[in-house]
Formats: sequence, structure tokens, C-alpha cells
Amino acid sequence: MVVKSKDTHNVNEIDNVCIVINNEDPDQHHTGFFFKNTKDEVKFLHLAWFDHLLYEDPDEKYFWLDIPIDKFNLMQMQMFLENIHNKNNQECSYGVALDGVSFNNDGNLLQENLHSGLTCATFVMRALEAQGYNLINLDTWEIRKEDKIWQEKIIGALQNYWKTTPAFIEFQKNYIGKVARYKPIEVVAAANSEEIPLNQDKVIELSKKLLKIIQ
Amino acid sequence: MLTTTKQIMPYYSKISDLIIEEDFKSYNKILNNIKINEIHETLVLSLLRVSYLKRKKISSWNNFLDEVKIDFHDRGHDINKLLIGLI
Repeated sequence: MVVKSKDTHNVNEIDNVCIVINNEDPDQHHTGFFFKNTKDEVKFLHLAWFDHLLYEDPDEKYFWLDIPIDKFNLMQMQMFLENIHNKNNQECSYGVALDGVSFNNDGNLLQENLHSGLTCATFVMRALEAQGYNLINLDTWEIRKEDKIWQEKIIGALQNYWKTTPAFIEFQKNYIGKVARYKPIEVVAAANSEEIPLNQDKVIELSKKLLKIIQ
Repeated sequence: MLTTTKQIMPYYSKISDLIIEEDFKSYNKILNNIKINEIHETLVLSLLRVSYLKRKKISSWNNFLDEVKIDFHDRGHDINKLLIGLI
């Protein structure tokens, strides 16, 4: 596993599209993509919070890892990520369930329900999935006890956010303890693997390896 | 031949717009008339990936995919890798 940082590599020389992870808060990592836009500038696309789908200059505190995709599909991915930014601007709901929300092939966010949303990690999963890359075997993934605690914390924070409505919060509460959480570090570890889709055990094994490197 | 994302992006945007507008007739025309061996692999992949979810509404889509498989094979590519999620 090759993990790059500003101390080891120049971010302007990334291989078109990379997956990123930070380690500012060990209990809450964050992920997204570094990618070269059509002007050949490196941009950081990530879902930071409710309607905060950000497209900004790369943050030097982040580590980045290659996504093992051939160069033609990486170029295709560059344009797709640019389109996600162009089509959605900053608008993307934040929510704890992966169900009912995805990206169309043209980069538009598709919501089966207005109150569905993604996290930073499921944003990455859905963006890659729209291009044919399924990172994780979702059918065999088991919900963990700790998932519920995290979901309650996130929905509590969403409740205090001015942009969310009571109907949105009620919808999200239905998922507490009933859906799995995919941690940023797990999604990043899976995206760096050539053996996708991965089962839960393998994802956890790789994510522990990654955590050791970035700590 | 268009070889960079800067060069390909306007075409990518145009074909994305055709799908949004559900102009499958025009999309079909493009797939029928394009000379696969004369365009960059990324644009070929874009034509397939952008339209993948609507492929059943584009009559020439499957035929185009078959021709792409042959062309990519002739160019020496690993078809299963390049066409992941499409086949």
C-alpha cells in the first residue's frame, strides 16, 4: 500500500484521480478525491457536509492513494468528477444511509427520496460505482454496534443545522441502527485495492494497515 | 486525434446533454456513424459509460459495445479491465 503526502510527493503530479484521507480527528476521518480538472489543475472534490459538495484546491494535510484503474478510465473519471461538480454545484444532501441515492452517468445526483443523502465515504462509493467500480460487497456487509452511535451523533448534528427540515430529520432517524456505516478509512482502503469488490473482513484488514501508516 | 481531457471534455459534455435531454435518436446516430478506430479510447469509453443506464433506449448500443470489444482487442487492450462495469 503506497500512501503519499506532501512530505513524499508533489500533489501536482498525481495520477489524474486519487483517493484521499486525513487524520486530524482519529474518530472521524474524511475522504474525497484529488483529481486533475480539464485545465490540468488539481482539485479536491468532497462532500464535507449537507449541501457542501466542495470543489477546492487540495488540502495539504491530506494523504492520497492511487486508484488502480487504467489511464483511459482515469481520464473518463476526471471528466465525470468535473461533471459532478458542474451539475450539482454544492448541492448534495448528507445522510446516514446509502440506499436510494446515487449518481447518474452524467454526474447528476439521483435521489429516490428527497431526504436521502450521502456521507463523504458513500459519496466516494457512489461516484466510483457510477463508473462501474463497486468497491465493497454490500450484500454480505454486517451492521456493527458502533454504527448506531455514530448515526445518532451525525443526525443530532444535522438536526442543529439550519438547512435541514424536520421532515428530513425524521426520515434520517428511520435508518438509525438499521443500516451500515462505511467508514472513510475503509472506503479509501478498498478504492486502493485491485481486488474489488471486497468483503468486510478484507476491507477492515486493509483499513487497519492504512490507519497505521497515516497515524 | 483528441487525446487530452481538455480536448475531449466538450464532446463529453455534449453527449451528457443528449442523455439528459433524452435525445436518443441523435445518440444512436453518433454510435452508428462514429469510426471507433479513429477516436481516443477515453472518448469511446465515455460514449458507453454516459449512456449505460439508458442503453435499452439506444438501439445501436449493444452493437457499438461489440464493435468496441473488437477494436480494443485489436489495439492490444485488456477488454475486461477497460470495459469494467459495462460487460
